[in-house]
Amino acid sequence: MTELTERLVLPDEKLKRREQRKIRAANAARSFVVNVFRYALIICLSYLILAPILINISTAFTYPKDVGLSSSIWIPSRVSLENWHVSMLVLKYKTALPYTLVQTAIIAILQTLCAMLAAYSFARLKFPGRGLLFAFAVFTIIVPPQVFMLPQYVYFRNFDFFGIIKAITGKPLNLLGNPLSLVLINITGVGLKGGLYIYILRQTYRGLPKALEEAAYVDGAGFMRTFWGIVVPSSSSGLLTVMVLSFVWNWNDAYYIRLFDSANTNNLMLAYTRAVGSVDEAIARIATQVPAHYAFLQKNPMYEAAIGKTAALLVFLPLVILYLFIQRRFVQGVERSGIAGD
Amino acid sequence: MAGEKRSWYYRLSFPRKTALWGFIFLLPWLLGFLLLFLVPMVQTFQYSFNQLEIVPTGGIKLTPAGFENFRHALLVDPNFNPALVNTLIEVLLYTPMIIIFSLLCAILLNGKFRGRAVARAIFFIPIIMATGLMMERVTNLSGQMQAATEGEGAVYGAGFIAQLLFNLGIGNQLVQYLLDMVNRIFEIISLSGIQILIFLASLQAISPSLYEVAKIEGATAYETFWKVTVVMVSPMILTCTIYTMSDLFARSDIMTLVYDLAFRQSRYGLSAAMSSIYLLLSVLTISIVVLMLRKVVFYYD
Repeated sequence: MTELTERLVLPDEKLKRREQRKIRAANAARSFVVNVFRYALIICLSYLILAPILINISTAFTYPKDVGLSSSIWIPSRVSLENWHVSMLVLKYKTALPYTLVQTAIIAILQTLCAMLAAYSFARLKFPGRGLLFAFAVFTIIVPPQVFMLPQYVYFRNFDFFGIIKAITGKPLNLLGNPLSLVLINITGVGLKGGLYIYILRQTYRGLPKALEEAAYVDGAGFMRTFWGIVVPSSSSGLLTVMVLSFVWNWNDAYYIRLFDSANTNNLMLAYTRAVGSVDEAIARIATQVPAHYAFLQKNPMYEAAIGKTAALLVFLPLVILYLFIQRRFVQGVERSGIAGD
Repeated sequence: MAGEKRSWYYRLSFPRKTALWGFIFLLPWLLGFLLLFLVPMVQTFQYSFNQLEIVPTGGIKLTPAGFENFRHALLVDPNFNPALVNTLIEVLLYTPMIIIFSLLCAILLNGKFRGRAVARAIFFIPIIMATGLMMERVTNLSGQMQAATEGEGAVYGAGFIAQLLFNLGIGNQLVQYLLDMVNRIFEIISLSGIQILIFLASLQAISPSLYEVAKIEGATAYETFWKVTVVMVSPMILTCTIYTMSDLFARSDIMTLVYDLAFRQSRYGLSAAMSSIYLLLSVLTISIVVLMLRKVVFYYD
């Protein structure tokens, strides 16, 4: 059948085909050029993103006495793990890592929980004054949190809840240095970028088909049941997005912990900030714990820089591992979470 | 007793129930907003008009000081004004850079090409290096290296490009801006992780039928980009601008200054006054930019 038509093609039909072929060739050429351009840009930018990290990894593995030598910039001439060990001692990594993991995970869960509830209320549950309150929620995004540090500090120094605690114990509670202050500030959605999570999840919930919830109500489910049974499972990608962002941002931030719990020695980011503030002192402090055969240099700026960089990598490492595991789901999740909806 | 309660709840109409639950769901946030946001905001303003002392029992003592703190912050303190101006310039300069850069990255990553998964994984690394501190530490060495090889502070061999652009007839100021962008590329990358993500998501959300229509109507790729892609992501440009600006404002040097004044030098009133000025400035700047952008943004319904 096809052979027959092939043979019977009229001359102008043939011409058309030739034209089409030409167009196709032009398109292929254009897409080739576009692809070359795209790859060139992507490779350049990837290099920009990765180069500093790779250089730092190389520095971290360099034998301390070789740091800064021009022969050891990309590939260390003598490889050693000493920088890693010393940096771990500086950060008290063995105790700080599990502590910070748990702390950050709890904060991320609390923040997500509060944002979920508030966002669902803003997205679906109509009540008077909702529009105004949502405007306030957006307003909280644009206000730098440090503006409130003094009143918040005083508030947690003399914590009281409408006079209840004072009525019972006779004096307000001092929550500074108490993990409860961090719990409270995060469960109430005031923590780091709390408003943003509400905004993201509201978009997610608004993108869900309303019919699902209506069906649940018609079948006699209450609001709680509908929320936990229908809405939460069908918005898991949005929740994942928010939880990951919250975890990462809280991991990378020591502001609230420094404000409410400045004596905390277990938070990794706080320990890192402190160590980097004066690397020489930090190194001197752990001098007795370092094994004798190490090339342990004091008062050497190059060595201090190497220790600082290794410490930065140590802080950064758990996030990389987390990222490798969830990267694919996370990126898909953002696409499906409807951040970019309406 | 329980039955009575049930009947009370069951007699409510559905919209009433919705409103009740809406309020219950919002309660944790609302408490936080009132007690830990609104009240502190008012208190910051209040503190800035007073001299503040923290008494040993933990309470605070206020002595009215009028505009003294504001006068000191704006006219006496040598660090505050320059920091304020610097921050403002930086925010206004960086924001367009970050938006353009992240939109470009999102467009690069959007199409179908081999190695897309790897490219995406790399481009989102800045999200997990979200702190300037970390980035600074991480980039330090390469900065030193480049400076050593080039003699100047410029990160890349920008002189040649500058000459090229200039010879092409591009205005000097634009060239300067582009060079600035190149020199700050590390900072821009480290600040634009989330923006790339948002733009990418919004690019994926554009209906393919729009591109089909453009193709049928004979639009070139250039026209399609400006009249379909940019228009459709424009609401996200607004969102990203707000986010970027607030992020930049929160990272400013002023915040270190304010923290040091309050917790190292115990000058609480002055610190609060600076906070108030900064709050007003940042909110005002963001509002103006948003109002200006609102006119350009296209909302698709």
